[in-house]
Amino acid sequence: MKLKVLSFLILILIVIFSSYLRLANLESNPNGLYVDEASTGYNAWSILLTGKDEYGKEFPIFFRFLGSYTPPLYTYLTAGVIQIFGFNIASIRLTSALSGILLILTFFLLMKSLDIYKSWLSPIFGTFLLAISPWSIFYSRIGYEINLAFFVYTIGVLFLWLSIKNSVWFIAGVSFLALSTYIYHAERLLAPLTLIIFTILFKNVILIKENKKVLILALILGLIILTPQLSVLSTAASFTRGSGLFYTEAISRKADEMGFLLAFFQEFFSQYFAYLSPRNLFFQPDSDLQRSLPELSTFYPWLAPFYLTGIYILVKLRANAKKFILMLLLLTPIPASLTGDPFSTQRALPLLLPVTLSLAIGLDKFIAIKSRIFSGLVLIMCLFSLLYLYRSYAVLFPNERAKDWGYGFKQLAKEIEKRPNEQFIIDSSRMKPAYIELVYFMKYPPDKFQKEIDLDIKDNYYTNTVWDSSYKFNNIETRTINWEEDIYKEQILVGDELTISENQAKEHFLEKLFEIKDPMYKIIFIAFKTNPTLKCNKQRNERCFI
Amino acid sequence: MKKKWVLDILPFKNLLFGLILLGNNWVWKIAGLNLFVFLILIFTTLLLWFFLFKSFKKNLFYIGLTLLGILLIFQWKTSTEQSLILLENDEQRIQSERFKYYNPSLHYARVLFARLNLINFLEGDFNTVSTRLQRNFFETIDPNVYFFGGHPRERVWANDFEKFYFILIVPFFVGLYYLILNRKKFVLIYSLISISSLTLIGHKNLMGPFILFPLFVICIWYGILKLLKYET
Repeated sequence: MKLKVLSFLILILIVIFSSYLRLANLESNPNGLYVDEASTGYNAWSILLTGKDEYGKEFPIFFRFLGSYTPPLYTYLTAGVIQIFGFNIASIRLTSALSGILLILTFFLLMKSLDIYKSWLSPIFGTFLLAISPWSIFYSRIGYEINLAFFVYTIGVLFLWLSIKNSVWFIAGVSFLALSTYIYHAERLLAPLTLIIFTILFKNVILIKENKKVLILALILGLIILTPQLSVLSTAASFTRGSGLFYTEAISRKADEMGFLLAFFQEFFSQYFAYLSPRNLFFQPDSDLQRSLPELSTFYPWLAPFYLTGIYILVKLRANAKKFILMLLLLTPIPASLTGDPFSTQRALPLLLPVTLSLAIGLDKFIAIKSRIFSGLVLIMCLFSLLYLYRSYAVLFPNERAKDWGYGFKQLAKEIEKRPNEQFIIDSSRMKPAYIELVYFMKYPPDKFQKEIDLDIKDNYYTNTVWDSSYKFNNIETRTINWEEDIYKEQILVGDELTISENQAKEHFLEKLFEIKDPMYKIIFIAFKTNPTLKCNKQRNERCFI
Repeated sequence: MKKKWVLDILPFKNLLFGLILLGNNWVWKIAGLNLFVFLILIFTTLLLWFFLFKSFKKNLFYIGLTLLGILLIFQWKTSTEQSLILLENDEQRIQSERFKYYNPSLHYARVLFARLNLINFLEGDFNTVSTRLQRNFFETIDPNVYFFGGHPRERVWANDFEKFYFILIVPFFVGLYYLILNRKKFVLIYSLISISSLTLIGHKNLMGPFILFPLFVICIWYGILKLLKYET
């Protein structure tokens, strides 16, 4: 009894601490607003005000964000958050942060229900490791769907596990897994895979006569939840993201040499094992600068031996939990392994669940032998880890990764708003889509924006999957600069530090208007005003007469 | 009388071992670069295999240990030394940028770190040494380095190449598991010696971390036998 109270008190402390880690400075760290966040935020706001997304489509089943057809639930929830807390960056990120906090509790319940730990401290340590894991913290603080999907998937997985003892939970498990497919692309593949493999592995307890009613009910409920999605399943929108990220090119390069099937398996398994490799999980961060922390991977390096020990013990274990955790460990990297990015922490986020469970199993082995000494050592290592987390997340990340997180668009929007009568060309050749950042920061009225873009899109919303990065609205155009024509019109050209060289500026009589720098004082945007009169006076050609 | 399978009559297990030992890219790459290392590797692998699965004679163990020592020296001598302390050009640039932009006086927590001399812990020599050792360690235990030529996270500087055919990764893990289960001491001692040495030496070697070659061959062989449910 005493231990139960103590364990409950520690859990509350962990939840409070993890809330701090997930909510502190949510508005300003990550420093900037990433395009995916801007898409989510602006469309949520648009839905809230007009019931339509940026293209004028009423309550879409997939959002056509930058051509990615993102499942909609996060955006709809964010619309509600914006209604309560206002249209700001923290509101866009809040659903993710709350998912991260609730995930801690769900994870603790899952660990307790697995009932495989020798020491009462192990579930506590496991939960604490999840609470301070850089992977969990990072994705809890971003304003798009990844973490919510993982949280809902985890609830589904918890209910599936509970259904082994009481089959009624199977209905809830199926429902939450079905729901997770409305949040993120990876779960659209992972959730049905988990359900099928779970049912096969535990068919002796699930697929029995006594569960007939439960199974039928679960099936009906699952189908009802999936109905809206099934209605667009045959459209291109349903597959465009997956096929776009698949490594077709890499396979076709190797196919001549070894045949298509072997080439596929080689590529798939190389990606798959990369997700399970300690090198990537504990040392080398995701190579995408937007999706990683400086010098910190998904877990702290000192945990690697426990991961390996945990897997070894897990394989030796004689319990249902072994099948269950191994199933999660082997299934969760699959969606990410079908995409070409090396070690995409974003698509593989559900892997966090079985890896943390394995870590706790590994830790348990040692805690059970020398409880006090070992717990003390783990605590000291956790303190060091927090020091490194502080250094990476609070000091290096907001400065060094600001540019990757869309820092500068807020300032650019202000500069544009200062000059309402001037025409702006934003060079899009090397930057992430600028239009969505600008409409967000300028709080550009959604009903006005919906009328200014290609009106045909909303009629062919799920079939017109080709996304064009050129946009024209208000006094802004986002596209590649056309040096043959743009310098002969009175306007302002905006690009990064490579867009316009000093020589080009001199040659075309461009006048520097402003520069926007990141926290490391590196140029993000540079703006030049054209001077067609002077250009034509000095270098007259046929363009001057158009 | 139990009927004998055709593979029982043929020396299947031995043939299979020979095939794994000589039928991989790694060993021939080594042969092309250093014949002496190639011969010692073949001999050491055969000896360890014999010691583990044929005859547990102490003499064999000592000879194996000596050969392992020789391999270790070769691994060290043929690797390009990578300093654990000296910063590379890019690292120097990052460090100087950090000192410039996150001057301890700018941040209250960093003032505290500076007072406790933790700035050096986080940015200085200690951090560099610890990162280098971690890099070497994690690269040594990365399965992709051995079965996929480092793909999808290639290390250009290490001249990565596919050491074993990628499908063999499955029997490798199966074999490793059973080897730990049945020959725990051997695996632990071998791994400890080779992995800790490679952690110090690093991976800048055209022949790769060949000290681990015997362990990989034995694991793959053992794994295939276990997968075929063959008596060992």
